[in-house]
Amino acid sequence: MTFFFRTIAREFLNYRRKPGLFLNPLIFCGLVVFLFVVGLGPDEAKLNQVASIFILVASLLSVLMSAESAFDQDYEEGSLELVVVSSNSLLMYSLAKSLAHWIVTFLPLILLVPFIGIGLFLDVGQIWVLCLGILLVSPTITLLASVGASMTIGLPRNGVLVGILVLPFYVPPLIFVTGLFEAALLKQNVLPYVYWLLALFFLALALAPSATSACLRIAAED
Amino acid sequence: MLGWFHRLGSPKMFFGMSQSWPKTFGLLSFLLLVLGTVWGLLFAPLDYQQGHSVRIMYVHVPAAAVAQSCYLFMAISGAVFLIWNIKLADWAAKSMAPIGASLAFLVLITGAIWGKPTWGTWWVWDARLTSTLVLLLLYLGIIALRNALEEKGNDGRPCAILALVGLVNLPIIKYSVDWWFTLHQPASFTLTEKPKMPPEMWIPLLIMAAGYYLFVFSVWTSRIRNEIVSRERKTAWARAWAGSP
Amino acid sequence: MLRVKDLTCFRRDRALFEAVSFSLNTGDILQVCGSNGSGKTTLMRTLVGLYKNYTGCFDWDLPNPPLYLGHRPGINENLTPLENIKWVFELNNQHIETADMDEAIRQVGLAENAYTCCSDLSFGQKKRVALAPFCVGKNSLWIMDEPFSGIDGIGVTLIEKLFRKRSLWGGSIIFSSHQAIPSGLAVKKLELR
Repeated sequence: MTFFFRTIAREFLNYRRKPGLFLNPLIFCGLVVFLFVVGLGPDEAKLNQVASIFILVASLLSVLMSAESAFDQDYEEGSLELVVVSSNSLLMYSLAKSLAHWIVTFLPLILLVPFIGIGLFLDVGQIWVLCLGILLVSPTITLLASVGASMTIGLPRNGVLVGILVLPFYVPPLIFVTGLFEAALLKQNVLPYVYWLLALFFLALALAPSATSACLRIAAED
Repeated sequence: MLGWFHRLGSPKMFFGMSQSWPKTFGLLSFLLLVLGTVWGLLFAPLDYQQGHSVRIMYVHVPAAAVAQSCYLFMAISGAVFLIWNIKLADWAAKSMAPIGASLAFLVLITGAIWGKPTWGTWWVWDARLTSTLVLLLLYLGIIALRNALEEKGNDGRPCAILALVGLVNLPIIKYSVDWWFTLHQPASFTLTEKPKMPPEMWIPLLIMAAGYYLFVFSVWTSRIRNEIVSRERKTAWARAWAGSP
Repeated sequence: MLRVKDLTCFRRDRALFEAVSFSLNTGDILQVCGSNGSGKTTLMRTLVGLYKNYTGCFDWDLPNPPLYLGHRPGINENLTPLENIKWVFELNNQHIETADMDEAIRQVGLAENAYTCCSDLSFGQKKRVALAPFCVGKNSLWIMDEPFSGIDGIGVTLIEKLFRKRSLWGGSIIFSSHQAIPSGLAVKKLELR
């Protein structure tokens, strides 16, 4: 367990020294939303309808970018080898990396959401729902991204490849979280969606770290 | 049992065994496909609502079933490769991916053609078309990953893991997509239930399905044989087979 | 403490080296030599468990895991040398005193750079950071892949000093290098071809 926390501490230190690792994707996310708005026009009613989904999809895309660099760096500099050689659990390592990655990407994003939301004419209630949705869906997203990122370690043009591999798996979480938004908008019961998103999260939590650690081992052993 | 398993896992044995498979099964599948097509397109009864356009079912439905089976096959070969480290299983998965992808593509194309007279548009975001689209995307992802891995000279273990992750996810994707889009008519053919279609319709469908499976098998064997020869080209037996010194 | 028997490593179905057997006793220093592509790195990686495509066997009898220096030194660019060294010890679940760390940094000649990020260091300096854990580590076996590459003359003397001290303490070392080691260290040689 200490290894788990030490890995997280090391990741935080790494992100603190290179804020671009998590700030650039945030800026990217904002820009994607901005482009959507430019394309759709400044009509309030229209924007209000799709704002939540824009923000959500933009955040999913931006997370993929940072996930790829998080794992590739370890491989390139050789610290991944050291972790595999040491008798520590790779499962814990990948879990710790995912947790650190989630904290540095999604917490700032959730703080950013109210500002973007106001710009897209969301009311306070919608912003709360959007934050809740992101909070529920983001751990699953991060775990899936870690599988994709670890799979493509050291491969040529892996930035695009991660997207191709992982994006199809984002379909179910996206469907349930949009369901949540719609239910909230229509003042219906949102709990079924919350349960579904939690179920997806627990499934991802059970399976993704093992897949990630298997891929990390393969990458280190090639 | 294990001995048999290992013999099958030896590229040389498999190559020797499968010598005549592409041709034999190709011929067989050709006969079945011709029979099924002629029966389905000329003699099978019309649907009272859809008229002649229902006949594309004989191309569309078996392709959908086979596209999914190909994915299952790929995931199982991947698992065999991961567990027992049998290289042939990796090559089996590799040879199957493009076949499955083209079948999924065929499903989408025929679905669109079917959709035009039935729904009035080429494309509807209906549940089963959308899940097939996701299936095609999964195939494309696996092929892209395979290309990148081979460029670097690595084997297909990450591909196998991806196929397995996809296998876990496919039912979830299917369910979640079903949740949203319920435009399509209910499943037209399942093995467990007694089909509601008249036998004059489902017998040609069954023949077409068998033809598709044999076709896939014949294409797959010729692809994997190609793979084996190119991988083992430096070994004595492959040189002897190719007739080069 | 290490026995290797009939080890054959394959790269894409081609044998890199065949039926290598040797044994290592406490205090031994073994140099693995051979031309480029003879499989030195692969042998090192096989011994630490990073390479699985081999036949034959080897077994360890060690009180603690070996300390490994790989082809890529494993230095995080965004951490300082001190933080990097600490991480290596944390990976091995060993505690290291601050004084020991300072001592290690001093021995590899990076005292002035102890608090700068490794991205500001040159390749040779990073290599020295990677060598620092070896100055204070208590592991009974070192496995070092090309420790002398990218290192200047002072660095080479430093490594030789480390080696001598180590073998006096009864630790063993396996390292790979294609060049002859200048000083009079009692080194066993294993030639790969």
